[in-house]
Amino acid sequence: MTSRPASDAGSFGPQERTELLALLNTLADGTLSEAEKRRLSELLERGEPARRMFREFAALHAGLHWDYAMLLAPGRQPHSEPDDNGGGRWPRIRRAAVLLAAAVVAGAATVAAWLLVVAPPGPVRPMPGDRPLAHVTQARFLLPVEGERPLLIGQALEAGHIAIGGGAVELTLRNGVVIVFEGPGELDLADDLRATLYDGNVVVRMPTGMNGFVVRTPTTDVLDLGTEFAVGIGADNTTDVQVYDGAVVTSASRRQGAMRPPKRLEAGEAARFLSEPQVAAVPMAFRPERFIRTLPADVGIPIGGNGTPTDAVMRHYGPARQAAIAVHRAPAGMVIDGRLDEWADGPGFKGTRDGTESCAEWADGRMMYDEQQLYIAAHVGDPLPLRSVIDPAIDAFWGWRGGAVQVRLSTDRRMGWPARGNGPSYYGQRRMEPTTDQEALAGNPRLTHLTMWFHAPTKTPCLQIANSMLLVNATTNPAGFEAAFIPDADGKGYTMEYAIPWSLLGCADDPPQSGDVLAAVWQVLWADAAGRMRREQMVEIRNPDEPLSINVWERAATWGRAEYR
Amino acid sequence: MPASDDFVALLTKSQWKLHTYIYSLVWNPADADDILQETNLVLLKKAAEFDATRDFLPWALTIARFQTLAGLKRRQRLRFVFDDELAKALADDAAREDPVFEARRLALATCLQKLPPDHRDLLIRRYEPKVVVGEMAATLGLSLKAVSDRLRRIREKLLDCITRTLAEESLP
Repeated sequence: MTSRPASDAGSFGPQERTELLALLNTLADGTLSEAEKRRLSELLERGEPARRMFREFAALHAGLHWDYAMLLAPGRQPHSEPDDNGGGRWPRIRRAAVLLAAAVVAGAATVAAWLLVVAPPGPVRPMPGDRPLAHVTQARFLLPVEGERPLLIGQALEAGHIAIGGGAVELTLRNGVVIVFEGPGELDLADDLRATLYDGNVVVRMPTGMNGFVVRTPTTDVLDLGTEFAVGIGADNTTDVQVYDGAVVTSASRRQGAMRPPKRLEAGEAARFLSEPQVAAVPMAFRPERFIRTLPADVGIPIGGNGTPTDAVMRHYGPARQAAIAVHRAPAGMVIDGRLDEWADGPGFKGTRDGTESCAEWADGRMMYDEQQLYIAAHVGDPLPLRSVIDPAIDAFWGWRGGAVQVRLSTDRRMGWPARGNGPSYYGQRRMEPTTDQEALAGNPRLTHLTMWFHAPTKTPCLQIANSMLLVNATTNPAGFEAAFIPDADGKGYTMEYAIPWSLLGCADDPPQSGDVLAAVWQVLWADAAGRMRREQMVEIRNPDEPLSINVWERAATWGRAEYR
Repeated sequence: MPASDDFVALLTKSQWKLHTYIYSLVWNPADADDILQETNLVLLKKAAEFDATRDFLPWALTIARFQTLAGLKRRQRLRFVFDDELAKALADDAAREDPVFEARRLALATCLQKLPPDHRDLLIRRYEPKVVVGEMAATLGLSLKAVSDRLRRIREKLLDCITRTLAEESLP
C-alpha cells in the first residue's frame, strides 16, 4: 500500500488535466499499460481536483453502462426513486383475475369473437407522422373485457391502454415491430419503442436491423438488442423473459429503482425475475412453446361457425344444466388407472358444451369419496385431446389453458351450502371494498380449487391445488395424489381419474360425511390443437340462483350442490 | 429482522451511486454488477445496525468499499490503480457531493439527446453489455486506436456538455 502525503502533492494544471483525461479513457477501454497505471496513480494523488475529475469521468462511464436504455432512446430520463406501489390491506392479486372476471360479464352479451377491446381513451400523446401507431393484424379466441371499447381486426390504434380477457391479438406497429399479446392481460402501448405489460404475455418481434424496444413490467425492464423475445407476468408479479432470437438486456424496473444489476439474455435463454428487487434472476429452461409467437397458432377448430361476425358469438360460460352432483362412497380397492371400471353406472353429470347432442365437446363427470380421499373422474369428448403443453413446473397457474378439468369445492361442513366467499376480483369489478367479515370469508382455506390436466410433452397427469377465494397457497403435483389419463381409441376424447387425499385439501381432520351437502362446481376446458390456448369452456353443477355473469372462481355462492351419500 | 420499507427505499435510491462508486474502483461492468449485488445483500443483512438518524449514503459507501476490496481479492483481480486510502477518499467525496452527481446524471440524459447520430451509434456499440473495445474495433473494421480516439472525443464532448448544462442551471 502506498502512503498518502498529508497534503496534496504536485500540481494539477491544464496539462495534467489533459493527461489524466487521456489515461482515464484508456482505462475505460481496457488498454492501460503498466507505466500508464503508475502515472494515473500519481496524478490521482495530487488532490481533490484530480479525484473530482476522476469521479466525473467514472460517473459518465458507469452511467452509460447503467442507463444504457437512455442511449437507445434519447430523451428517456434516468430514475432511481421507487414509485408508490400502492398497497392496502387487501392482498395483492393478479390483475388477470379482474380481467378474466370482467371478460365473463361481457361474455353474457352477444359479442363477436374476433373483437378485442381497448380501454376508454386515457391520455393519448400526439404521435409523430400521420400514420397510426399500430394496427390490429390478427386475433384468436379473444375475450372482451366489460365496459371497454371493442375494435375490429384492421383497426388503427394510437398509444394507450389495451386489455383483453383471454385469447391473443397481434399488433403491428408502424415501424414494423410485431407484438403478439396473450390475455388475460393489460398492455400500455406507449410509442414505437415502448410498452408496459401489467399482466399476460407478449412476444415482441423486431424488424431486421432494428433494436431498442423496451417492455416494462412491474418488476423488470426488458431492452431489446435486435431480437424476438417473450415477456410474461406470473403469479406475484414475477416476470419471465425468454429470448428466441438475438439478445435482450434486463434490468430492475424503474418502480424498484435499480436494485438488480442488468442481465443479458441470449437466444435460447430464459429467466424469471421475482418481485423482490434484491433477488437475482432465476435461470429457467428455454421452452419454445411457452409463448405464442404467431397468430393463428394453428388451424384448430373454428369458433363460431364460419367466422363471420354474426356467427362468431361468444360461448364460454353457457348455462349449466345440472345444479347438483351426487357424491357416493367409493368401493373398496379403488385402482386409479384411468379405466373408470369402478365408476360404471355411478352418479354424476353429463352435458355437451352447447347443449346439442351432436356437439363434439362434452363431458361425463363423477365424484366419489371415502374417509381418506376424494375421487374425481371424467370422460371428456375432445376432438383435440390431451395436447396441453402447459408446464406444471413453471406455468401451473395457467394449467387450464391447454385443456383441463377444474373442480372447485368446499369442504367446510359448518358452512354447508351455499358456500360463501368472494374473490378480490368480485369486489374490484364492482368498485367495492370488502368488509372485514367478507375478507375472512374469502380467505377460508376450506374452499379449494383443483386444476387437472395432462402435460403432453412429459405424459404427466398434473394437479394444482389453490386455496380460498384468494387462490393462494397453490401447490402443484403434491405428493400423495394419484391420477391417470387414457385417450379414447377413436382419438376424440379421453378419460381421467384422480384420487386426492383429504389431507391435501386441508380437511383430513373433518372430511365430508354421508348426508353432507357442500358446494362444488365443474369447469371443462378445451384448447387449440397446439395445446396452448383455451378455446372453449363448459360449466356444470352451478347454483341456478346465481347470475351467469358471475364467474365461478370469483364467487363461491355460484357453486352447485355436492350431495355426499 | 427484515429490512424496513424505509431502509429498502434508501437502498433503492442509492443504487446508481453505489454502482458508480464500485465501478470507479473496479472498472469492469460485470465485476461492478456482481459486487453491487453482494453489497446489497450485506447492506440488507446489516439493516438493523443502521442508525436512521445519520446519512445513509456514507454508511453504504463504506460497506461498498469493503465489499469491493474483498470482491477484488476474491476474484483475484489486481487493484492496479488505487490503494485503500484513495478508495476511502473517493467514498468520502462521493458522499459529500451526492447532489451534484445526481444532477450530472440528469444532465447526461439531456446531453445524450444532443449527440449526432453517429456518435450515439458508437456509444451504443461500446456500452452494450459484454462488449470489449477490441472486438468492437474488429467488427467495425477499424484499429483499436481509432475507435478509442473516437470514444475519447465523444466522452469529452459529453463531459463538456454536462458541465455547461449544470452551469446554465446555476449548479456548481
